[in-house]
Amino acid sequence: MQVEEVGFKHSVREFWDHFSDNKGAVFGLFLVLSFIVLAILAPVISPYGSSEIFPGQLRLPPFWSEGGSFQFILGTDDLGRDVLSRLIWGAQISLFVGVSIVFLSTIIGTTLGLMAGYFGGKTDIVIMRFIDILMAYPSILLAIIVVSVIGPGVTNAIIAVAIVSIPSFTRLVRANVLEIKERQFVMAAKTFGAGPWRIMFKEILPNCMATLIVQTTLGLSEGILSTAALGFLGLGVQAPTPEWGIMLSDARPYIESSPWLVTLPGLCILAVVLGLNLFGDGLRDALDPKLKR
Amino acid sequence: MTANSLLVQNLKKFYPVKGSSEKFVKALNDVSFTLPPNTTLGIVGESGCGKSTLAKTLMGLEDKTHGSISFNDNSFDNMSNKVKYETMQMVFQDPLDSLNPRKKAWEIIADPLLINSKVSKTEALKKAQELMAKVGLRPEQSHKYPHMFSGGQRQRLGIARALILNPKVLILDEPVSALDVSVQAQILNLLKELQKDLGLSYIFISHDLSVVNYMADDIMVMYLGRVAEYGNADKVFNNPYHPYTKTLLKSGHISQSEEIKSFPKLISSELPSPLNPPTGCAFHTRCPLAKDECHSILPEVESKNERSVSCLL
Repeated sequence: MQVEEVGFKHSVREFWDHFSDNKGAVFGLFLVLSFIVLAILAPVISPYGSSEIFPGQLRLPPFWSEGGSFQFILGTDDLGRDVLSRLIWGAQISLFVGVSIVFLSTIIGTTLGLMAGYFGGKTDIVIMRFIDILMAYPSILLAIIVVSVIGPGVTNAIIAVAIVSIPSFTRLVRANVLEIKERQFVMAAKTFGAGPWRIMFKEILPNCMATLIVQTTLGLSEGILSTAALGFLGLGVQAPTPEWGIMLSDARPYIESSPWLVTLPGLCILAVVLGLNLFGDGLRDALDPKLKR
Repeated sequence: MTANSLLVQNLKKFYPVKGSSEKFVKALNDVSFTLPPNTTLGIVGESGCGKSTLAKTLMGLEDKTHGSISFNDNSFDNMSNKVKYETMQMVFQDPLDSLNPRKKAWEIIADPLLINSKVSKTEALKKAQELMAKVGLRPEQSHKYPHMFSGGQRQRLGIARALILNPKVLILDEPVSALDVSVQAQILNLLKELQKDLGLSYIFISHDLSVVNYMADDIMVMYLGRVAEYGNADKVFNNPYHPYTKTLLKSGHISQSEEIKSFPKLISSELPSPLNPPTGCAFHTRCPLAKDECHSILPEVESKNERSVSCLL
């Protein structure tokens, strides 16, 4: 067992060496990790409840502006709720939604991609034409269609965005499978009777993991962005849930008088998505053997 | 037939040509041989002659078009897959490519066992480690990944994997061609030892004549899917009948005989397209000794002094 641990530690260190060369990626990882910590510690660190209303203290500015106070560090919204608390709880919602979307779309997309690539022929044609149909619509438009069919709400928004994210996983995995299934270890597995499902999931899938992990981080940021967009349009998560997209859309009428109400949730979305993208890019470079020196 | 022999009769494998229902690429045409226990059959020929198709067809990776394969008088057609796997296993050419890079050594070796019988993981690990010792690897390395081994060690892993089901016949598809010359000898000697200990039969596919000369008891020379010459290895090497065998021996620089050294050059160095095989004897387009009748008459495989030769001359 010792040999294995040494090998594992070694490959982790090697990975970190490559990854940390990319300063942007490290910054991205830092951003993402801080939002994860915020989300986990939300019950402890948020000063107030997410829907706690303070009558008479509507649209107070953040502490650094005139009229702001440290009682509400980032001010209050149009209903007198603490913005900072809502943003912190919102991190929980956004990350939960993002992870659920990626979880669903990865499982479905990967399985479809494995089947299309490995079986080929008619299976491939049927699956890939279905994927083409999904891709023919702009993703946000398709998500809107799905939500308008099954109705708004957190779960439905997750389902809608997950469906929209399936194609990228399927195409990526399929391309990988087409390459890997020609390798000799796949043929070797057939010579001692490994069935197609065993070959797909135990021989081929582990070899797709590097690209899949990268796609997962990028899919996470897209998922969060799409959910925020749905929320902004009033089709996703419903008020009073402190979701960043709804906070944006609720604050729209006050964009001139209380600009922090739109700016702050917007900045949060920006930071998470930027962080995930930087992190994903860094991961891709660090895991790609072709880019290694 | 002799007990525990592998008997292959008139094996054919035709691939249909796209866009035509009557044209076929005849990758294997009327290949027959007998492989008694504890012997090695060397199969030689240039690329595209059907060596690998023969390996794949024997392993059941490709369905045969015609012919029979039987072991110990039991036809492969009536055998369960499990029994087939326990009869014949295969070692691949490229040891790095034939081992899954994401699996540990013991998982790779134990895979055939885990798929084909109900053993616990602990038992499988134990069996894999025993086999690692048998092929000259340290059992402590059982939790390493393939890329942590050297080329020769990887091929030992491949051999261990092929042995775990206790097969009677091993197909060795160019098992040493991807290795350094110094390592080649170690692997060949390991294979010889294993053959002696376990009474294995080998089908040894190679394009390296000196390696085949070292390993093989019998030798089969193939040309465009057909048997050119088949017989006892020493006899074929010392006194080849078929002009193609002579050409191979000459290009391999391993024969001392004056007849081989002075054998005329091939007319063309290019292998004819298997899509449009030449009429008559397939070798006549290149054969320096070809006569008019070779262009039209297909030579049958004939027995001549305990040897099969397909040549009109």
